[in-house]
Amino acid sequence: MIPLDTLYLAAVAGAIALVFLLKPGSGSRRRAAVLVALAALGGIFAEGLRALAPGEPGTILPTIFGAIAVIAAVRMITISRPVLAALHFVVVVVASSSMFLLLQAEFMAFALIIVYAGAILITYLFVLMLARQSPTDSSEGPFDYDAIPREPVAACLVGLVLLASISGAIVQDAESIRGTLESPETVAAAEIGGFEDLEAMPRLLDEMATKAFPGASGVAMDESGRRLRIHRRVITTEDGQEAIEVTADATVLFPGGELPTIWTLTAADLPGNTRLVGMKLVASFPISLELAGVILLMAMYGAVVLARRQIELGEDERREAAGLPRLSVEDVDPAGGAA
Amino acid sequence: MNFAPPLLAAEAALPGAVGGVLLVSALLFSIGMVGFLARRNMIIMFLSTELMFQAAALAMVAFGRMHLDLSGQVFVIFILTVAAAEAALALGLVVLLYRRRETLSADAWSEIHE
Repeated sequence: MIPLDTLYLAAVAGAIALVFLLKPGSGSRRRAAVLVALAALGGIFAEGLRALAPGEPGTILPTIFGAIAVIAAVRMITISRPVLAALHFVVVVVASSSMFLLLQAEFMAFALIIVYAGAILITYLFVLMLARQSPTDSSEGPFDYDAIPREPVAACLVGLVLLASISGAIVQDAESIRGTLESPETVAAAEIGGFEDLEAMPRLLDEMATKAFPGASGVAMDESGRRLRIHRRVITTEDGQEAIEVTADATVLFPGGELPTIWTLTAADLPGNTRLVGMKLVASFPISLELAGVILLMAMYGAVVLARRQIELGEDERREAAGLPRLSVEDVDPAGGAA
Repeated sequence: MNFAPPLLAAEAALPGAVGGVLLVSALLFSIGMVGFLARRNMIIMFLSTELMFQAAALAMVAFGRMHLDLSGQVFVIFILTVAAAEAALALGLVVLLYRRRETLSADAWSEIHE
């Protein structure tokens, strides 16, 4: 059982500071709130990382990017000018995509920057520009609804409960997170999965075989339709530790009657992140992919329908659009006309 | 074709990164929730939901990295899809509401509830 007192204390301090940051306030109280918030952030990080990654190298970069993301997020919800809030959200996006890079999710990191910072945020800025009328800007300060929060204490209480339960659960589970992370079984299972994905990409496999063996025509398929024979064995390394080694054998064919060669692939030959993510996307989640397309189409229709300027058509215009003659005074039912 | 194997390069990996990113994602999600509840500007409220999407995406990738499973990253693609669809609809709605009342305040519509 890991004691969570310090973590919860830091969360409470952070929530109280956030209440004061949300309220429009004078200089000194705000500065004090900023200091308390920073201290609380430091406390949460120190306490969390002490449980999650004790003595591990490489927690510096995630801490720096995480601090940037969290500070920018707090600025985003406390700043009164909406345009600056949107720009702070860009900082959050860039910081989280650097964290994606640290987690070796290269494709998602750049997709995030392109889609979020490039597309979604620009749409937000457009709507802000459309909605904001210039005269009130800068001369009279922000609108009331930007400056004064709604129930900051209750909101921060909800946030505190949420943060305490999520981070408490993460820290409580630190043992199992550390155990799964980089355990030989996890790595071996991932490597086997990677080889299976590679086997499902025969053209890539043939290309790699031609690169490795100039003049080769491709990789042979055996009777059961397999191209790779995946082996998993426990080996003992030089320093006497046991490790699991995963390799795959392929039979490389040559066109001109030359004898086939056995080609052994190691984990270093596995395709990169983008190829494997693409493979996973189309091989494991094809229906979801189609549904995502449908969602986007529906959203497009919905946005067009919602944002279109609604024009009230009179009876005459509708009749004209339907190709009917306009209503004349004599056509009108006498009773209705008299009313 | 000398691919660097980013998913499995254990020596280049930062095992400490997963825990840190999980913490950051918890913090970002809570901050997004506070922003959604406390702010009165409709655009900032929707921006806060985007922040919560972001936190969920971070958690997905971190757990995917922990299990060395790429499904987490695939889920982020779907999160991006839903976020884009939500942004389009939400902003369409904001534009519509702004035309009616000439204000971005969510309180201008508080009489909708009975």
